[in-house]
Amino acid sequence: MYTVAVDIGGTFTDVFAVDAGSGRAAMGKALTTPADLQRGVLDGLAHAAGSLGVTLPELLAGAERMVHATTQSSNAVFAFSGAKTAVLTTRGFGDTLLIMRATGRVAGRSVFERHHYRATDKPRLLADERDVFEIVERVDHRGRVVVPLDAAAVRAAVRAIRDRGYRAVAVAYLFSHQNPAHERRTAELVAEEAPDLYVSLSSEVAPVIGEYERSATALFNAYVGPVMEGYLARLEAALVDAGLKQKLLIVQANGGVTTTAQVVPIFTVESGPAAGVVGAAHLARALGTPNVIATDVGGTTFKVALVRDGEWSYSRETVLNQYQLRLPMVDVASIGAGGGSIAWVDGRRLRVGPQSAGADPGPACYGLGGEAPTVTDADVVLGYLSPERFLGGRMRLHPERAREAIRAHVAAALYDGDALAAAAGIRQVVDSQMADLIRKVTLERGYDPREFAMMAYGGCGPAHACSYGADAGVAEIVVPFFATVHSAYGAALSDVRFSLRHSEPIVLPVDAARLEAIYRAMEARGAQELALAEVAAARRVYRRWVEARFRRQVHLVRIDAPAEFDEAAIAALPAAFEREYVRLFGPGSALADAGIELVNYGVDAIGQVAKPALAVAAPGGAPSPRAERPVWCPVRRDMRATPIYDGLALAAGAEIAGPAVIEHPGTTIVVLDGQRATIDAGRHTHIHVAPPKA
Amino acid sequence: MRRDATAMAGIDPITFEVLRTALDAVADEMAYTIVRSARSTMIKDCMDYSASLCTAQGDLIAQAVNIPVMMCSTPDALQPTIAKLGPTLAPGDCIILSDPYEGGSHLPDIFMFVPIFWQERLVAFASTCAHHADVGGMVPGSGSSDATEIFQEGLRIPSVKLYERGRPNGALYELILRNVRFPTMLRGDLEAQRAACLIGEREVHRLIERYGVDTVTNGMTALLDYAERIVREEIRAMPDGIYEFTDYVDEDGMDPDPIPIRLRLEIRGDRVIADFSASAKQVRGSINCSLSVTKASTYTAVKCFCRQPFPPNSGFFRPIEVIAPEGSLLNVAFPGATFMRGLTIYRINNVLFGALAQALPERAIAADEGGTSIVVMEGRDAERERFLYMETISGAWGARAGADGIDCASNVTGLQSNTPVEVLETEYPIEMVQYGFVPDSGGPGRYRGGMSLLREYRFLAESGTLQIRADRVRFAPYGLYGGRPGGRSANWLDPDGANARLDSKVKNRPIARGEVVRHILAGGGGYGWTFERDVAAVVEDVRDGKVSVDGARRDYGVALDPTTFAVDERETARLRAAMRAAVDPANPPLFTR
Repeated sequence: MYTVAVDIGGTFTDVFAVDAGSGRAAMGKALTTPADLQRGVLDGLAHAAGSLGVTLPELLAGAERMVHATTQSSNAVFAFSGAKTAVLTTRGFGDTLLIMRATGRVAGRSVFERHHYRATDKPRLLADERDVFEIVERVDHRGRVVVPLDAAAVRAAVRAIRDRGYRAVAVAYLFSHQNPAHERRTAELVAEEAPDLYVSLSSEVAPVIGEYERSATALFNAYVGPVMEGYLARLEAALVDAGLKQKLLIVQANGGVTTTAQVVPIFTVESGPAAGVVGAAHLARALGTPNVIATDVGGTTFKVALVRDGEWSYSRETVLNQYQLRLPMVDVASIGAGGGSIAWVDGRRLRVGPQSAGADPGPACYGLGGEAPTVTDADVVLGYLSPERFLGGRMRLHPERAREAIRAHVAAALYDGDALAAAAGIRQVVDSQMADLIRKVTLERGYDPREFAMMAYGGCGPAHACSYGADAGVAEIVVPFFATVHSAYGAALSDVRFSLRHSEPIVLPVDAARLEAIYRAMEARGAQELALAEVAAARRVYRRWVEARFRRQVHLVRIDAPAEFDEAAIAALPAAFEREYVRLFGPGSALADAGIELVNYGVDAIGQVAKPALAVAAPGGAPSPRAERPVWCPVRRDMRATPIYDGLALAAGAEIAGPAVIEHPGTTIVVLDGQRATIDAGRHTHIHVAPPKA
Repeated sequence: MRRDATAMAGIDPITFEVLRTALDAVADEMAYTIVRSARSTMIKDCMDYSASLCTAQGDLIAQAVNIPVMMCSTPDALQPTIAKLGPTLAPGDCIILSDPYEGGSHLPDIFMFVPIFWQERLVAFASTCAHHADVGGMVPGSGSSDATEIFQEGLRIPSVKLYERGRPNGALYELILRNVRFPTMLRGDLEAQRAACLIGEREVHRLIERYGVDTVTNGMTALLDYAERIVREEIRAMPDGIYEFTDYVDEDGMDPDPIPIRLRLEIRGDRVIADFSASAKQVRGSINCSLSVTKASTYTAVKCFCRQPFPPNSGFFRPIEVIAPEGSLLNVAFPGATFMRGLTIYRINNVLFGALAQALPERAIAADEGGTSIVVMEGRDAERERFLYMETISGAWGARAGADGIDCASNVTGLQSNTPVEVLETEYPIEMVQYGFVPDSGGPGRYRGGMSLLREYRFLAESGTLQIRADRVRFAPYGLYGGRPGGRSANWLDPDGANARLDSKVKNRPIARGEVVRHILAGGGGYGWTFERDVAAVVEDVRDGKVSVDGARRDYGVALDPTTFAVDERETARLRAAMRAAVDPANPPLFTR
């Protein structure tokens, strides 16, 4: 019986498979095939099956759990390839999605872009004014109906929507999070008038206060809904054809999985990185280092997430194409910096990214026609990456093309043609960008990076963590054994998870029964969803949280809420809130006299899955290098003969002094001069960074 | 081209780039520290603060960008401080300053400077500035349109050491806190600023340990020179000439007269001289600006017209000279009031953009909505508890050469956002009746200005008062090169009944339960002849309801069927020919208002 997970990334489709009986695990990797994603999925699965010594149909037939992290919804959003979508909203407020609270020009953009006044604009609109239909109805802030829903107007609007060729409709009325009756009635009317229209209700996808963000979430869900439904149906059919017997499970941005029947399409956006954080949290707990900065360097982006006490946190807000959404989403920050990031000369400055060469044509060293110098090209020129061992030897790199690209596009302008110095410069610039993001993410969330260990994964993370980790000030960097397919590894371990939310401003003190009622309603809904996903009652767990603030302030702070509210639990809330507030905003920042207001409530309804115990066969013997080759030493600034180790041949307990390069199939770990690497029982590599001079 | 700009200071391009991003990151960390530990909503929620690093000479090196205008005025605050206190500066010192008559901006903005030493050598300053909730004065919050001299606006802080060699000056602290309404909050916010400055100090020390003190200080010099070089290149590429422009603030809330801002902008070689000498004399109300604010506004506007990116540091100020005589609106003389100078900053920006539009028509932006409006409603709610609701509302951008104006975005000079309807109604006894764009309000042109925004409130409390700070009621946002002005701002009481017009500045007007207030922001100006707008773009706007069928005919000379939106080609050709014949198409007026 296997647990199998597939994660489609921009460049590679990754597979992780484990045999629950023996604990034997295998990886699979294939190039992502954007035109027909199923091909990459089946290639990757076949690769993993081969590693396990079985055929693809055997692997699929033996899968008791088949998990998939998809980029399909992200692709539809970023490529504007979603469905033509209409919006129904309250009369007098039809421009909400166009006004965007005045933030549409700058949301999600870097400071550099914000300053480019003439070149910045609002995003391309998913729904323009003509796509918005105002309906007579009104609910007040307590959920009381002030103006009844005009059903005849809804019917007329839906007929117009159907006749104008829309495939989806988002319904977003004011205060529907307090009283969803009008939205639900509207959905019934849509089903009667135009049963083929895909409907998304704001009260279902984002039942929280804030009309713009709630409307935008409904709009995006409607926009990707038809695309995702079609894609998942086709993929599930293809996998069943190939032998799959179980239901396909889909990874969501909240770090949990759901069934294809229950998935809320927009909740799958950016789910691959979320799965990576799940894997990091699991490993952090297993290794006994519960505080970890999880870093993922892929082909195009660098991602950072924090794990505290073995738990990840959720972001307050998601920005997609400059729209602000409210999604249950693991808090992951990213910048455009990765192996494919292109180095360029801006006047007299060396810049790296945010443009990327992607998978096609890819870095110059791929030999697929790319001519722009990338970070991966620099790594090849500097000797960190072996041309013969890339992708486990399945793809040969061309160092001379890397060198020529760097010489022509960077070294000629800045280094008298010295490609080596230019390559070292490219690496230093990109690594310091990554270290800056790490510091920003930790400090913004009220932590000091030096109090964390680091985890580095993704194809390029292990080769760069020695630099950006040391720069950020961590003492230890862990490279997971399955680093190269880490998101797939995390997906395989993901629990079933439904994130339920509710908004209702209540100033403390509050009656315990009132709070219990709010949470029990969400838990009842969670129980229904878990039952639909076939989670046994014994495996169901509910985690409560509450978001509160000092009255009249904007900043909401999320804290865990007790499993049951009684008078004592309510009395303990202010102190718990103030503790977290002070941690985030500094000593003395709490405004105790202002009063505390609870605003948002949530329950994560979790169906826990058994985590397969991995049995990693380890060779014995002392570590001995496979070879030696010249590798760049950033301390001495020259190429030095450096030992190269075969990662698969390293035994548990092995210890290696830097400088050294450890090569695994699919990834390369770099250990710098002054650093030390050790291999643990699970064959994860730990890089020990010398503490910086005091 | 090899190695030249940075090699001057002995810095290789990599170290230069790494230092540049590292210094920016330090400023960012300082900014997070302030927002993390501050107590007042002006800082925490309105983000009215900034953080920066400066050289030992007081030149701005790196800034965390929240309020660009606030940042660019830092050197003018720091340099007089260095002149005054220079020889006495020591590690552990912490200096504060707010008096606009000693380099400050306006009284609620308190600057704080921490000198950074390395082995007894002064190498840099960490600097922060924050808008404090209350600094004393005649009204809570310190800001009143009625103030006529600075003594009514709160405590004036000259540059003084709040900490000396790491030890707080208790007497000074006590004196300050005795004179403000929320002393605990002010103390907390000052300490937040200090915590940020100390982070800046720590991180600069870390950079010096890593790269060496000479590399870091040379790197700072190289960054200044780099920005200066780029800006001089940019200015040299602008056509030489003298460009004049005038725009108006409707009135200051005290006297009814329009207030002109007149600019004579000279571009000569690689220099820019902005001469505001012919502008209004100092006014009685509180919209006067210190010269540092006028200079900062000018720098920000010039930057908007540059094509290449560059670090926004003091190096880019060097080629730009700003002239405004003392005793004028833009260089206030003691003891003029300055609290509400924000409105004037918006208008200075409009004037600079108008002048630069003549030099660089292809990069021009027509006038925006004229700055954010402020609406304040105060009263007692159902539980008789006193409430005070205040919001700023951002509106339209002007049309750009080549692109329509943005329909609602925060102003170029700030990054505010509009309050959600659901949050407003949940927290205050106010109902939003409607909130949306006004058709036909975007200034018509080949490129259309952004549309006016309308916000209509119903007051649900028993009784209370209303204040509005609006402008652009008399002087519409100008359009450029044949483009027409944006729709004017207006305030109405009871729009569906008596429909009484209110002034642009509504001061403490009584308001009763059920009364409806409608506020309309101005629309953005258009760019280029209206009859040259792509007919298809006009049809798109009509289909979206942004332009009415009548408006399409009247403003754009496009005749179309009101139901099918089919264009009547012949009638359109006739209308447009008539519009064209009425003007000299080859010589559009610079501006129309």
